[in-house]
Amino acid sequence: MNNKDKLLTIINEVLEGTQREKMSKIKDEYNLRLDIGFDSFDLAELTVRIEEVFDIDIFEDGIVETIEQILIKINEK
Amino acid sequence: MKNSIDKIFYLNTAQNSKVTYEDLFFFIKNVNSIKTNYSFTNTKDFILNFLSSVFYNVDINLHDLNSLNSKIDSSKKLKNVSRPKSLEEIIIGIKTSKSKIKLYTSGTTGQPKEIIHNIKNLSREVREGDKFKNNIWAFAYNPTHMAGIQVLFQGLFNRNSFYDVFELTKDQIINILHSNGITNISATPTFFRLLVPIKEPIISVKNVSLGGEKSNNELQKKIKESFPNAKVLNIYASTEAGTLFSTSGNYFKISPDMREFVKIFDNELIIHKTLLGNIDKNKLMDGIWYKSGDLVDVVNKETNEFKIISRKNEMINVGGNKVNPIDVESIIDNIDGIEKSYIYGKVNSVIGNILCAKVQLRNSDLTANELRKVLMQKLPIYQIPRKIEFVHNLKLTRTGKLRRYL
Repeated sequence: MNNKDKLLTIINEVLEGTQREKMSKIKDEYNLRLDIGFDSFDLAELTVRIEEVFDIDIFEDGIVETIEQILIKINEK
Repeated sequence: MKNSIDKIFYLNTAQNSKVTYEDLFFFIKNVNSIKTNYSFTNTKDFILNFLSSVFYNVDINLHDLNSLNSKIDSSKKLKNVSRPKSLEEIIIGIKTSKSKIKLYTSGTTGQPKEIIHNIKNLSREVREGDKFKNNIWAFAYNPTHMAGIQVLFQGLFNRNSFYDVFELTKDQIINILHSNGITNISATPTFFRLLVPIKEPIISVKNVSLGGEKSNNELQKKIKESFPNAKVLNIYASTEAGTLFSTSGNYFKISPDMREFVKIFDNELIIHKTLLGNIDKNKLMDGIWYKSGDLVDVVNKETNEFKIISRKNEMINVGGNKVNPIDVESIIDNIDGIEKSYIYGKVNSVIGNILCAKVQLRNSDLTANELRKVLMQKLPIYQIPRKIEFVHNLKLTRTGKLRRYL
């Protein structure tokens, strides 16, 4: 599974936990709030789940807004 | 007033809603019915309903987003009331209102769940004058909370404009700040954590205030870089007493006129009952003093400067919302198939603390998602644990009493 697929799985875990529909795919340009509908609590959960899998706090030095920005952080690690 | 009646009072670009001072006047002049048990869904509706209730001296209960008690609909029809003839009259009516505003706070042992405030208390910190009349606000608080109401009064009494940025994306917020010459932002540290750093500093902002949760130097530094012309203030406030102090550094100071009402007893900040909303007298020390639960370190006895060290109570601050772990545990423990639960906060870079649970099951194969589904029917969203871990024996981690590692 590549990092993008892993990220999709994590995003779907957050969506599922709050009784929302899972996504079949994500695009690099997707905005976490606008396109995925995440609020600040969802973003907080996302950071915890990403940290568990990739051992990186994506929000540590400021906010990330898109899928692409998350992938850059994960790949830079 | 003639010149400013078409001035914007409230604008929400995301929802495409706009209220001028003229709209506000006509709304309040003509309103026939007021929702008295208000559950927040939409800021514009909230503000119009809230200000109408205050103007017509109607008591109102303000509930949180997704709050448990918010489903009860009740309203009051206005009959034979004196209608305002000008905006000026409305603002005077609001300032002198006899309305009682019921706010909710997460309770912990010995502390109130409901706090009833009068308008005098809620507007105690409002400053008026020429210095404030050109302020333009980014409205960033949940308006049903104490801080949101205080900002609303501060702006309204000075006929300022509000641009709503609550729950918007970083780009949307920056765009609003840049294009409307915003001068004032008052918000939680969580709001700023999601906003800064900003590539192109916003020079119009003159005042930034942070309240509701603990801030830190790193965040303050990023805020100062993003708003180079702003004075940055930390506010100490509570649902029980409203805003009490502010500071531009790490130390708070009890001002001379507050010394009779705020004291430090046994390293704990205690607040005189006259500064509080209507709370149960039995919960006060000597029937007079409210124990805030905040432990402080006095750094200068002469100037009454102090630093907040820790919160004695066990509330977990989740993005500016205070969560009582004991309340959440008791809800979870009452669900079928659950032996015992343990709620704690884990430091999080987005919302300060993320709520986590350790759960011990009893002859059950409940999953984390199923548990969260049940909790969504019972708790407001910020009180639902985002990380749920099932453990075999929870008691091993405890020493008779719940141990918390905050």
